[in-house]
Amino acid sequence: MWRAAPARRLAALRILVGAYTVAFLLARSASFWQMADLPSWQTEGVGVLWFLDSPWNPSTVRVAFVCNVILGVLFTLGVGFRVVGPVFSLVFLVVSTYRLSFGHVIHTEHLVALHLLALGFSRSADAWSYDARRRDPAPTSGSESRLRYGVPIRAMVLVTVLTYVLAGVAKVRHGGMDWLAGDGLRNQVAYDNLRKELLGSPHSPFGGWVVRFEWLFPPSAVLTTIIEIGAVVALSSSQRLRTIWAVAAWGFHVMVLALMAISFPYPLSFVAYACLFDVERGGERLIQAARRRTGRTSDSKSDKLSAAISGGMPPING
Amino acid sequence: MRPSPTSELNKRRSVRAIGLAIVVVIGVLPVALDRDSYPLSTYPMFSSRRTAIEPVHTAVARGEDGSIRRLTPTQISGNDEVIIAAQLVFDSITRDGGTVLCGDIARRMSTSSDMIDTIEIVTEKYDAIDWYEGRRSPVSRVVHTSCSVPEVTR
Repeated sequence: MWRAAPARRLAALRILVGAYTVAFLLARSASFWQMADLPSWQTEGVGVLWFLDSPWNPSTVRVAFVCNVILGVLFTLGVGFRVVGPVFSLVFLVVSTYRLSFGHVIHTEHLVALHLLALGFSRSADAWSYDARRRDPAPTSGSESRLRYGVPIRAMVLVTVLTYVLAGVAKVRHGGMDWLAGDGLRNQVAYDNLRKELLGSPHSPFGGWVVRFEWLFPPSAVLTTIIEIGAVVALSSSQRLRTIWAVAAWGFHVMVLALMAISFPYPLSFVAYACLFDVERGGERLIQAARRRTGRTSDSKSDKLSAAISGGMPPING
Repeated sequence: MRPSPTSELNKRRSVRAIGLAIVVVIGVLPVALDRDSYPLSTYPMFSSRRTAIEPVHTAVARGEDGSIRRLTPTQISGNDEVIIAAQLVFDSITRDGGTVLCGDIARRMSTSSDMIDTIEIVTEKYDAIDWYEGRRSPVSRVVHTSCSVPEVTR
């Protein structure tokens, strides 16, 4: 399971997850901003802020948020990564924990926070980064490469699998046979949409229409449980199985969005599943396409430099 | 220089230890503690034993003509997350019957151009399946508190 991986794969994951996180922070900036004004009596610390019983100064919250966005950009570009990598992943953890410390835990940021910790505390800026220009080429094979680049990626895969398995187990554990029979799911879809309507929030008219068809829910509930508990197949070495599972899990989130207007942006963006693929190939193709467009050949001085800074691997078709 | 077999073995052991630690911390610990938290969680979303009739705690505005207007999560809590708004209403009902929250919302709504007379903190019960089949009468409706929207700033 713990295979070696090229530095570029981990680097591609750093860029994808970093860029996603910056986009997420900017897209949800209003929510992070408004959090500073919630009533103090609602404060209920969770996770690393378990001790929190009163809110922070609103200015502190807003400065931390802005710093987090700036750190996210540096993280994505791989600037000063030995410091920025761990600091960004920890500041994101604290800022996002603070957002959830007001009475209810939302489950949209758990996986990205865990992935950022794996990336931030690893050598994910050894390629395709600003820092890589000033470093020796990264090892490309052997136990060194496995430890440096393979282990963090596998840690991300393991964390992803565990989150889905736990969600599947929770459904069977708390919902029991009612859940598998589809009643629980049908009631959940109806209740969730109704609550949103009564709380003046956007809901899913499609979900409201679908609850009329009772027969749809038993197979949907079974399929959901199979996808969640079946996440263990993503640990296999078969790329086909990993792809099938990733697409199925993504489809599940699309259905959740369609039926309940609940968005899990990290899996919906597919970035959550990037660690299951050889994502560096996409980046390499992009670089090649750019080279072709500018008419440069792989023998050029800049390509040799590029190969050196991106882990010592020669360009594809080079 | 090739790494020695001992150092290879040590590396392999550390890698296995990392894997085990991840499984214990992310997979076993949250279930053993049975607590939903962040970033460790049991991921209980959608897993509760839901029935068709469940209470919804919310705040509504009543117009001068007696009509009811639904408030948005931002108007209720100052934040656009619906779950946080719902939790805020529930917590405020448990805390003081919703009195403080009612006053907060009334102050927030005093700048609204809508003709709103009072704010009500309510618990409403509907049959959610019936609702989507067109039968929309409440099973029950409890008004915990109501308060007037200040006129002076309107």
